[in-house]
Amino acid sequence: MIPDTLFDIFTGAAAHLKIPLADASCSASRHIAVSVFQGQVEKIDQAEARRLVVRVVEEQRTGFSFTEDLFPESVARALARARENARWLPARPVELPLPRPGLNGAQEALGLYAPDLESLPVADLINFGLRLERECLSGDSRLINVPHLQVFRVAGEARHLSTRGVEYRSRANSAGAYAGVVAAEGGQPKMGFSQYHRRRFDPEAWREIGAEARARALAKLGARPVSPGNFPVVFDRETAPEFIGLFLTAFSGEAALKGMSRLRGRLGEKIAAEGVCLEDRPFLPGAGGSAAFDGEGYPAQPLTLIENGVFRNFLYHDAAGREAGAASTGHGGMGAQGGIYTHHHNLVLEPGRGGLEDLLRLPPACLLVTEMQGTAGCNAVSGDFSLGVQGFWVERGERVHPVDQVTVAGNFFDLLQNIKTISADVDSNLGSLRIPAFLAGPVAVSG
Amino acid sequence: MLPSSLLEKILLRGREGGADFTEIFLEESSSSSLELLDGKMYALSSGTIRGLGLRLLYGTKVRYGHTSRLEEGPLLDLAANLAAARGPALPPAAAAAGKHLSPEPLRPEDRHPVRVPAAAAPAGDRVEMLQFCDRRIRAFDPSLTQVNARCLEKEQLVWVANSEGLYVHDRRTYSRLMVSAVAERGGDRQTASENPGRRAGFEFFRELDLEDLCATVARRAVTMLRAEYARGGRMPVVIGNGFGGVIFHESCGHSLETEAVRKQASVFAGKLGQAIAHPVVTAVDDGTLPGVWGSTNIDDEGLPAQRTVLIERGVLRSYLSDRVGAGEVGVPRTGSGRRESYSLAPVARMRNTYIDRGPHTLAEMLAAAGDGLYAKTMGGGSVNPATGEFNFAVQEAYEIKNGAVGAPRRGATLIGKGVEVLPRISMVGSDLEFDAGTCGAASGSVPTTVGQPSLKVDELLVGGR
Repeated sequence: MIPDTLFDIFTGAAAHLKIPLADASCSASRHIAVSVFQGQVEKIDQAEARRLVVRVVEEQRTGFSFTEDLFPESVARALARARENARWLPARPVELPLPRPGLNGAQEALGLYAPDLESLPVADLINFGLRLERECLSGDSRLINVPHLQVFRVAGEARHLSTRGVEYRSRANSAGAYAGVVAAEGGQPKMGFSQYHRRRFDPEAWREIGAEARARALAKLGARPVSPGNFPVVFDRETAPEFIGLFLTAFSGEAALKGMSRLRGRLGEKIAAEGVCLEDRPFLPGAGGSAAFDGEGYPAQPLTLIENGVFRNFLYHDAAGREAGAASTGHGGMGAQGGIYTHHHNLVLEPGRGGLEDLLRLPPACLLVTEMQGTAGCNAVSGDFSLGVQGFWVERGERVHPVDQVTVAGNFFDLLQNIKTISADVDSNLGSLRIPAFLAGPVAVSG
Repeated sequence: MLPSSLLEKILLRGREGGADFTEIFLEESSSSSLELLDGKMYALSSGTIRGLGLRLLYGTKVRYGHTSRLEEGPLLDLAANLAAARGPALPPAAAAAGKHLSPEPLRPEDRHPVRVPAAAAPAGDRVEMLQFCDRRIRAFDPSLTQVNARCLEKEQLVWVANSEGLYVHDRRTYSRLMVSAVAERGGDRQTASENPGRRAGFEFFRELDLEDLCATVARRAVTMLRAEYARGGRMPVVIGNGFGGVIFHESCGHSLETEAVRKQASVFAGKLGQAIAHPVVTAVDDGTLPGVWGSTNIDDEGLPAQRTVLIERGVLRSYLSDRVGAGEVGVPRTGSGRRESYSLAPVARMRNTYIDRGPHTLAEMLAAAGDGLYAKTMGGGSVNPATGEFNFAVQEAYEIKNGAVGAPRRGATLIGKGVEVLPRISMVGSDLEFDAGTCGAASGSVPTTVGQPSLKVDELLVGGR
C-alpha cells in the first residue's frame, strides 16, 4: 500500500528544496465491510486510502501539510507548503530524533499483523453476517429488528520518515463485527449492542455476538428511572474505558502547559484512591495501541501515570517535554491534518480481583451503568460530567430493574479519589484502554 | 479534473456486473487551519485531498468503493472489483448502455458566491484576527487564563456523474472561526466557545463582529465559573435561540432521515401525516439558504438543493431522503444526499434545520415556566434514532425562579425521547437564529446548521447535582 520508494522520494524532495529538517507520517489502510439487513447483503464497502502528513522545522518554526498523493511532485509540494506554513509561527524548540536500531524488529514482534487474515474471503464475511442477524433475532418474538450489523476486515500500514534517516515501518490488521438489535414491548423500543474486534477472526463468533446483543436488548425492556439521590455507581467493562477515556487530556503535558489540565502542578500529589495504578504499556502483544515508536519517531516506553493514587507523570511529545524541562516520553502523534498531539499507547488500570457480579454485591445498592448516552456533557478541562446513562438498579447484588432516563453528574477528579474497588473484568476487544469494571462514588443521579 | 470520457468508461465498467445504476463522486478539496493558543500562533497546516468514490446500485443494494489513485488503470480496476463483489442473490444482467455524459459538466447557479477568495487575503490578516480575539477575551476579566482561536478555510470541488447521464460540477467554499476560552479560579476551570461559519470566502471573517463574539465567549466562561451546579430533575426548560436548535436536530431530525426510516429504525417511521409535535411547531430543513453553513447548490447525488418542510403545525409532512432511502420508503427525493468526502457513500442528512418562528416572547415563556431551567446556550448532543433517546449538554444555563431568569447554573445535561419532547414544545418565540455545527452519522461529518427561536419545553429531565 505504501511504496518502498517513499523514503527516497521524501528525502530526495527535501534535499532538492534545501529543507534540512523534516519528517513525515504516512498511513495507508485497506478495508472491506459487509452490512446485512433483513437477510440480504445491503451494502459492501471496500476501499484503499492513503495519507501523508509532512512536518518541516526551520529555525525552530514548525509547519505542516498533508496530501493523499504519494507521487514525487505531490510530496515536494507538501514539503514546500509545510515550509511556507512554518514561517508564520513563532519558534518553539523541537528535535527530530536520530534512528534507533532494532525498532522495526521490535514493532514486528508485537504481533499486530496476521498474514492469513488478508485472505479472509468476502464470502466468509457475508455468511458470518447473515448468521449473526439470524442469531440476533432468534428465540424471542420481542426481538424485532437489527438495523445495525456489519462485519469487517481492515489492514493498515504506517511509516515514519525523517531527513535524519528514520524509516520506521509498522503494519496491523484485524477483523470484527457489531450488531445493534431492537427489542420492543408495549410500544417502547430498546436497543442492545454487541461488538467483536480481534486480531484473529473466529468464524463461530456470531453465536456469542448475537446472544449478547439480543440479551442486552431484552434486558432493557421495562426500563424506568430511579428516584434522584447520591448513589454508588458501577461502570461495566465497556463503559469504564469509555468514561475514563473522556478525561485523558488531563494527563497531557501539553494541556498542562497551556493551563487546560487540572493536574498542572500536582505531580507527586494524591489524585486518586489508594490502590489505583494507571500505566501506559506500549509493548502488550497484539494489543490495540501497541507500538515500538511514536508519531515523532521516538521510541515508545512504558510510563506510570498514577501509582497507588499518586500522580507520577504527564505524557509528553517532544516540544511539550522540552518546554516543561523534561523530555519526550514517546507519546507524540502526528494529526491527519497536521499538528502534533499527545496520545497514549495502551492505558492500563491495574485490575483487582473478581468480576462484575462481585462488584455489585459490595454496596447495599448501586446504579450499574451499561450504556452512556453521548459524551457532550463531559468537560475534560474542568472534569465536570453530566451524562445520560442506562443500566440497572442493583440491590444486594441483584438487578432489580433496568434503568433509563437518568443522568449521573459529578466531577472526574472527585471520582478518581472515590474509586472503591476495581474488578478483573476487562473488555477483550481490541482497544487502547484496558480499564476494568469499577465501583466508585457516590455520584448525583437524577431521574 | 478527469475527462468525461474516462468517467463514462468507469460507469460502464461498474455496470458490467449487472448494476442498474452507477455513480461517481469525484472530489478535490483544499483546506487550511491556523490556530492560536497561549497567546501565540500555535499551528498552521494546509493540504489537499483528491479522490473518487464509485457507487453501484442493484435495486437499493449498495456496493461502494473509493480510491485516491486517479489514473485510468486503478480507477477501472476499482469498478471491476466492485462489480465482481456483488455478493449473493444479485443476478447479473446485460450491462445496458448508460446515457452518455456531456463533455463538460453542468454548473448550477451559485447561491453562495465568494467575494474574497482565501488566496486573495494576506496571511497576516488571519494572524491579526486571532491575536485580536486573544487580547479582547483576556482583557475582559483576569480569570480568563487561556484562549484558543482557530481559523478554518476549505474549498471543495465536486463532480457528480451517473449512468442516467447526470454530470454536474460544484464549488463549495467554507470559512469558520472557532474561539474558546478557559476561566480559572482556585483550580476550578470552566470553558466557553463560539464557532460561527458561513458558505463564504474571507469576507466572512472581515464582516464578523469580533468584539461581540469575544465578549460573548468571555462573559459566558466567567459567568459559568461563578455559577453553582444545576439542580437535577424534571422541570420546564426554556431553550435559547440559535444553537438551541440542536434539540430538534437530535430529538427529531436524525429520526427523519430515510437511512433510519427505511430500516424501521426510526420512532417516526410510518407516521407521515400524523401529529407528532405540538401545533405550535413547524420545522424546516432548507439547503437553499444563501451563504448559510449547511447549504449546497447541489447535494452529493447531484440533485439541486431544496427546502423541505418536515413538520407543519405539528403534523409530519416529509422525511429527508436520498436515492436509496426514497426508493425503499416510497417518498420523493429531497436533495438531501450528503457525505463527508469521496470516501463514503451518500445518505440523507440534515442541512440547515430549524424550528420556524412562533408567536410567543421570551418573557411569556419564562413566566409560563415558573420555576425551571433557562438553557441559554447549548453544547453538542447525540441520539439513537431507533429508540428516539437523545441527549445534549448545556453550555450556559440559568435557573428560572418565579417566572424570571435567576442565578447562573453550570453542568446541566438534557435528556429525553423524541416522541415525548416534541408534543411538549408548547411555546415558540420569534427570535429565530442559526448557528453552524458539524454533524456525524453514517456518511461521516458534514457541515450543518441548527436554528430556532427561543422555545419552551413543558418538561425535560435535567441532569445535574
